[in-house]
Amino acid sequence: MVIARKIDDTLPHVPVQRSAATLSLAYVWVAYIAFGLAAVAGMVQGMVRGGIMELPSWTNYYQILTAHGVLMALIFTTYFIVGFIFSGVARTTGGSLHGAALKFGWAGWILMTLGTLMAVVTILMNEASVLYTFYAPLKASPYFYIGSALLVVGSWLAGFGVFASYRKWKRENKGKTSPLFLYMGVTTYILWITATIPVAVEVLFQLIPWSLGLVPTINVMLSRTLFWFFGHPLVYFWLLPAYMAWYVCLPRIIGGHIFSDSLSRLAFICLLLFSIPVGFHHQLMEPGISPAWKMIHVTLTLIVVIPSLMTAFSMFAIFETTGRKKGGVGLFGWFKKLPWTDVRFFAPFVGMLFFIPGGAGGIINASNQINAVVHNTIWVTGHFHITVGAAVALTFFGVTFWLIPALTGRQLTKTANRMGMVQTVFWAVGMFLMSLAMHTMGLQGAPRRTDYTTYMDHPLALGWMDYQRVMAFGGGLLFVSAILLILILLYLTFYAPKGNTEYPIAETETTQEVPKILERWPVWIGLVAFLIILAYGYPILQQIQHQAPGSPPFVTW
Amino acid sequence: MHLHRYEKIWLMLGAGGLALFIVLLCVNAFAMGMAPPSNMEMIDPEKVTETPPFDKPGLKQVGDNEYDAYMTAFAFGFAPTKMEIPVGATVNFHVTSPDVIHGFQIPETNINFMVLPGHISSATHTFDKPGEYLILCNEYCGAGHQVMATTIIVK
Amino acid sequence: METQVDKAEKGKKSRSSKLQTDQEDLKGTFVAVLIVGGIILVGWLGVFGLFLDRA
Repeated sequence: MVIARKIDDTLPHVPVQRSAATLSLAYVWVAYIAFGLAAVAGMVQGMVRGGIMELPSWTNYYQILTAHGVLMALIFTTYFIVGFIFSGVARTTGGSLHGAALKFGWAGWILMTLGTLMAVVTILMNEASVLYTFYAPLKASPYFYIGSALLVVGSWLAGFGVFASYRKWKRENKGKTSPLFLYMGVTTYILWITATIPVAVEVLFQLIPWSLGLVPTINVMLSRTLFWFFGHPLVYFWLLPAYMAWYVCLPRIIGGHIFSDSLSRLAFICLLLFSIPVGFHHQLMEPGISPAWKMIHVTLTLIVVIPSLMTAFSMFAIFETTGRKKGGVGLFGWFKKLPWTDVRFFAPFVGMLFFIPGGAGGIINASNQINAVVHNTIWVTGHFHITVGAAVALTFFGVTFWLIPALTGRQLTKTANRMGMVQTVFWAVGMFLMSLAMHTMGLQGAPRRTDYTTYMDHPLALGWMDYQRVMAFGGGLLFVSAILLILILLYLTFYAPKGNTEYPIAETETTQEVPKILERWPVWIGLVAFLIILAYGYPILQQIQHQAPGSPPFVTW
Repeated sequence: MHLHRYEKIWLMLGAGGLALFIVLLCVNAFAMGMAPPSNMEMIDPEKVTETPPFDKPGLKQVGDNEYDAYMTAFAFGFAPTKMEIPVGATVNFHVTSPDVIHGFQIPETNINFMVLPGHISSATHTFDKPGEYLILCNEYCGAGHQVMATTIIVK
Repeated sequence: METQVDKAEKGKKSRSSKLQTDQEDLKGTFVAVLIVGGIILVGWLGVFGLFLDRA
């Protein structure tokens, strides 16, 4: 094996050809432009809530909050994911994307960017301060909803591009198991397209006609159900690409192997099946849904924890087997053998550490009546900042450090690597302080999504002020980290010396049999449909047949 | 597909733990009556102010030391604005909204639910300790969301 | 890209692949995931306790 590695390293790596690399970079850079703007909004928000600064009269907290949420949670994530998956699909299917995939890719980029611009302009004009959950009957400008719809449809086109690549690969490699990265990319898009159908229905058939004044009222309950039908798989759409980097790229970076090809695929299939029929766990504290249906969704939610438990085991196992091969002995000796000074490993690893309390908190949130302790408190904000904002984001950063130079034909230099390490530490410390303060305050009842307030100097609320300052300080560190990140990425895109940067794709140590059933998509899509009908069929029927009197639109900001 | 022995044990422990959580939740929710607030009653959101009992929001004594609190949550406040109850009182909150979605939360109690226009939300709490309890809106409802709060005094 | 050496390597390994997974020493992994499980359990019971206390 040692010999094989050495020879492999001297060979030119399979490049991602220019046409695919350009497409991928176009997505990744829109992602980081959105990220930069969102980081400014986030920092301002932290300072305002911490009581450190006041906003000028031409803007308000909720406009900035909407910008932060939409740009971070919807734009940054979606663009990065689409760009990353395209690059990895090209890398694992021979280095390029064929015509159809490229066409879908660019058509998707154009639609998504048009949609993003519409949404951002309406937010800037203060016509869409409805937060990224846009709960009716708060009514944004119709252009905000149309923009969101374009964003979703554009991402579908990108998905069709990946499906086309998969089909082409299967045609050319009859009977063979598809590359793991490609398989995971396909699973992620099946999840995404299935999950975005309900929100597309909500936007197209409820919100747009209602916001245009074509219909006077809206079924609020149904709109919320459709939103959360999408809202929870959305978080798995963020998580799956991070898992792809963990399962496929990270083992190569640390000089190891994929732990188990089949188990990795199985984990993805479980995530696909059980991350969708669970939306009521976001609606546990609301009227109009019976306790029994809530409990059914809670149970399905807890089942989706199992593939993540598998992932935890796989990750430690990759680290341990690799560390032991490098001479690590004893129970934890292998731990010291990991490449701690390599940002490509360090950033995602820190992300994984955040995912431990993140996952534990998620189980608490989804636990039916216990949700009353944390629902809509700032604990929830802390929760998704350590999951998507740390576990997923740090993984994406770690990927970007090698992805951009690999695509631009430049080198991830020692200096850039070191700056990346500093950036990661700033992000981790900032996020730790901010989310710890948020979790603590949340347990005491401090609400999320709320401008600076002392609630008429109520003693309880006054007790939150110190935590809010800690939160603002953490936000400041995160902002410094974000600036540093943008600078590093500019350097890697335009200034770093030309050269080869590896696109790390690990292989299994031994040839492993992969059960054929794992690639029988009709079976899995059929099961997804079955679980969705089971979990949502009756409740949605009820919500249509026995709906509350509708709500007219309101603009309250 | 081959599972390492330790992975098998880990997944069994994990699944067992999750099953334990589910059992505890079910017993607590369905046998001990602590299911999350899930009232099914509806109301026309455009006619809240003319629909009894929400036309006159307030406390109504319904038992020895038990009260029904009929309340409205609106942009940006709660009605009634002043409530006082004796220590040990049980209060059944019934809340609805004439406009957008609001939250209804009393920190340091389990009272925490959504208020949707068109629906009536209900939850019960027994106030065993005296004090001035904060009631706040924890769902974004507009520019004045942060001032949307009231108190309930327990003497 | 697969080199000749890689292929030869794979052939050799696949013969012993059945045995390989269980022979791997994963004690550290097992202890690590148990710690993760412990964190989940303690956190959950803690908040459940808070819920019961506040009822």
